[in-house]
Amino acid sequence: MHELGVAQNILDTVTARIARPPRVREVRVRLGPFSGVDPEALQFAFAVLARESPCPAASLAIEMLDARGDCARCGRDLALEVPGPVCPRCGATLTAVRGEDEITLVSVALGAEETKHAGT
Amino acid sequence: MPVPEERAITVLERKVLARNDEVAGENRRFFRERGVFAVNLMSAPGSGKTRLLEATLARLKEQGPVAVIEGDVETDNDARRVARHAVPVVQLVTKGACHLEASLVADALEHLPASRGGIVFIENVGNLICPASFDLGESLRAVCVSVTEGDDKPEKYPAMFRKAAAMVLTKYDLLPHVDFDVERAIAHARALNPDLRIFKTSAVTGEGLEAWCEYLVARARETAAVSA
Repeated sequence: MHELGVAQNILDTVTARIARPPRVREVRVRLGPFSGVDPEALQFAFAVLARESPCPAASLAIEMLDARGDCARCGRDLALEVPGPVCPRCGATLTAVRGEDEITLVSVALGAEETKHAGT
Repeated sequence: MPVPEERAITVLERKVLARNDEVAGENRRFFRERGVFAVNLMSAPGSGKTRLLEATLARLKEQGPVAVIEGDVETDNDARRVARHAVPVVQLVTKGACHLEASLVADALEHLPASRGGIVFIENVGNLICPASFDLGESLRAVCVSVTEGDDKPEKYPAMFRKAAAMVLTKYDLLPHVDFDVERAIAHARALNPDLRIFKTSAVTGEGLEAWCEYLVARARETAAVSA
């Protein structure tokens, strides 16, 4: 998809919300399995963009989420292997689906003080 | 060995595409306040979206206000085609972006005449992948699939078909000349999205256009009634 665009979006959001962006060490992101974002491509894009951003010391931590669904017959929080509102056990239409296309900026870890970053 | 740095964690829990969602919400409010029914028309390149749109405009423009927002990477070719039907049209040229975003649609809306009721068609960039992720504030997402494509399009591009409310099969007049298995395409699309409305159309012969246009008009009337 647009890993560069997503990475830029993440950096813009972090920069806007953190008082001293050079203190940013780790940015944690949660991805659903069917978000269309490739984790490796996102890592690469983030590394490239972070270098020239207000957060040059930032690294990206990606949590992969399972997609989960609720089925009236089979129960709640069933793990979904494929996208779509179909119960993996009985084939009925699920009553709820969660996390499948999630792209969430979860948290930011700040270091104690600004560090000199090699190359800046 | 350096002393491990103390870290302070700031929790954000913010959707990365939140900004697009916010603007999409504003677009949706804009449409609702004016009773306008907005259609996001999506498909692979070359599925006949523009041709379908032209045939639709020819039938609908006498029935109420219609306007078009065209989205393409380059050229205003599609806006020129639409303009021949004497409806207001704005061409968005993305210069490389493979999908429309809500902010572009918001800009385009400023250049369309203010009217109450009626339909705004947003013809998205030809692409079955990326547009699915970007809410534009539309009332209806319709995905076109031509019978000259593979009948496994729904299986290959599930996100698009899951998030659409209607699937419009196009170039139906060519069905005798191709291997497109209509029932298979419909079955796979409905497996992803049981409530998907299906339309079978030919812009050349006019087949299926009446049902498609009736559906649009009925939805537009509901939308206008709710805002009145």
